[in-house]
Amino acid sequence: MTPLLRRAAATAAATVLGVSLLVAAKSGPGGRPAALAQPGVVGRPPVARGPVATAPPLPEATTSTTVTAPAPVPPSSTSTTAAPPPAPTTAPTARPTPSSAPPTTRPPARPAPAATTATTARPTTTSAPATTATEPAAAPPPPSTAPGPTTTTTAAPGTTTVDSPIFVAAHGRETYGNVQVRLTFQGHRIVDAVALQTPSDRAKSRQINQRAVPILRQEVLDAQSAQIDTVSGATATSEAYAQCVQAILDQVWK
Amino acid sequence: MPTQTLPGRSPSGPGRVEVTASPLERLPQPGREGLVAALVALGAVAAVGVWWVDTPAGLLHSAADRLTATGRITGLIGTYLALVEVLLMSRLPWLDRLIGMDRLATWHRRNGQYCIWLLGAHTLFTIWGYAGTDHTGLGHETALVLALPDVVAATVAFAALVAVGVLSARAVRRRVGYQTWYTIHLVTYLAIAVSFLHVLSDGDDFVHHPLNRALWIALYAGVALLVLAHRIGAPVRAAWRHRLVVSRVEPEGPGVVSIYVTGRRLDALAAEPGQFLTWRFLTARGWWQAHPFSLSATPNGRELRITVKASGDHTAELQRLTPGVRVVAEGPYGAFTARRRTRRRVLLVAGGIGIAPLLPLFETLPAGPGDLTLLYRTSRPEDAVLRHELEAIAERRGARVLYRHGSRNQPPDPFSAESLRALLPDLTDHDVFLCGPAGLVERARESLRDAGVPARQIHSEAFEL
Repeated sequence: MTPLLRRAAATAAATVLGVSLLVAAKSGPGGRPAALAQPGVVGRPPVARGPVATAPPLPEATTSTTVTAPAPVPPSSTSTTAAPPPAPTTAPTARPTPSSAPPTTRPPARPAPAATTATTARPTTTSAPATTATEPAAAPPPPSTAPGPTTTTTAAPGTTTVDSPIFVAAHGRETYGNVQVRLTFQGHRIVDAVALQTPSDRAKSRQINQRAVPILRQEVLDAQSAQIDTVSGATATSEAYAQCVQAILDQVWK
Repeated sequence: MPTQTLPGRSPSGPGRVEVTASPLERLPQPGREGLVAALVALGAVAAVGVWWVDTPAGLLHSAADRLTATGRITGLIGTYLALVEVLLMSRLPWLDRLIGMDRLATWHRRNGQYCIWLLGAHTLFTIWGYAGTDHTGLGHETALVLALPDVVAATVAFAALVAVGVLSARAVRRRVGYQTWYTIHLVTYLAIAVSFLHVLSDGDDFVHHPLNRALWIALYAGVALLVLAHRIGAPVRAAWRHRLVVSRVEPEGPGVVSIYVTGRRLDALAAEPGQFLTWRFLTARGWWQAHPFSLSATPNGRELRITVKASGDHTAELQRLTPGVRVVAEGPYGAFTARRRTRRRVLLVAGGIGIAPLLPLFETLPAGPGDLTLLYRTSRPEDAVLRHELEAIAERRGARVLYRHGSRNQPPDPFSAESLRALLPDLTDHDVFLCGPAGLVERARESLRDAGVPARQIHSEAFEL
């Protein structure tokens, strides 16, 4: 009995030690950043809640004065009702090098290890922010004619919907899938956010995002900016979601 | 009663197999076992390597991440060991020759227990980690996890493995019938198939990684082929080839019979003295169960013999076996043969019906007069079956047979180091072949080690698988 117990104890100890060492070897710094949007993180000064004085109003903003947030629309039906199909689906798939990626002011999304932050979220298409950034800021581009993959269109009276480019939800070297967000504006107010795409290849990802997406939507509506808290357990999706929102705001408020 | 008269005659006859052990087989038992254990460990390292490669350094930030990672690691090793579990019992000939089926059975039991603990840890840590990630309680998270594809099936499969584990624990095993134990054991194949699907549909290291998926599928396919070939293909082919049938059943002693089996081309079985087969007697009640019995007579190419003591339902029923019953046998198996021989002199130690594989060894191990000693221990004198044959062999070969009787705890202990040394002053210069009840074999082994016999010279066959 004793040798048997001794063997069992030795096996258990070896297992606990081995697994602990393995896990410790891959462990990073203790806590996660509470929010994505530290100063400068998303490349723009924070967009204040409510109307932004410096930003030219969208054309439609003048036609509507009542704020009636449309009900969240499922991604599939939204894409069918949107006049031009979302450009990102036909957008170039080649990934630019990280240095030429989004607006030049975009620093790493997280001050964590470099290997992790470099690939935290990669836009699959970055031509929109890159090119529109060079256009005269004074000319408010009509959303429907916005160049690049970001398509702006009128979906309902008095509202404008804008689709973001596709960003990849990634954590370290691990990629989970694409994230694409459609924002609906009424004037310069974000009245709805719909996730057109979220990581869904893995069953657990689907489950996590079912929970995270409504939270992220509410956060965007509350913050009226891309400065949203990470939904814990859905870090990669949260980061990519914020980048999607920021890309749209970059476009719209330019 | 020592018998030391006639000079030994060369024990050759039809069916005798000339064996040459490979260099690996000449390694001592610990060396051979270490080699195979290292191979198994290498596979486990590869399984963890899948996780290691897919997980960048510094990825695990929160406690929940670490718990989930622990769940993944234990899951990977656990499912890998489940596969090893099947492989250990797959009757691979080289594995049998290297380790011996009885030791493989011991490994199978220990590995099975470890495997179940690991899979339990996998379940617990994964739910715990996910619960941390989702900010919910263990109960709610369990419901969430069960909603993932194949998780309900995997849970049922795990429950089946636990049931087998419990039923196989020595204390329980004695109470439940062989049939219950056997049937539930078959379910484990299904359980492992389900766990395979669970890994592919839920395993983070496999969903997105075509290479890992391919390797995992190849691993399972390989093991499945080996099992099919050796556990089904080989016995079916052998049954067709040999058409075994019971030719006679002869009483040997109280509750002991010898069963003689004939068939076609028995020389092609190539059974070596000391080996066993698993026997399936196709009677109305016993056809579904197969039990291992050692050949108790030197294979002669015409007839096989086993000697069975009534110690359970099945062995009791075998006492009433009638000639003409058809037989399907798997084997021969076992590493308890002349291949293990390292010294000129040999001591054979038999406990009770453990004499069965030792008799053919006593008859055929190459040895000169005085080189061979058989120590035969039984509870009562009348339990010492096959006595006449042993004495005839001893006389022919110039060997000794010594009988010892008495209950286990009754002094003098014939298996103490002193008794053994008194018996054979040059004991350390002997190979020792042990076969009998596990307790007796272990005690004899310890005494032999105390008496200075190197481990590499001690060879044993467990009484029961």
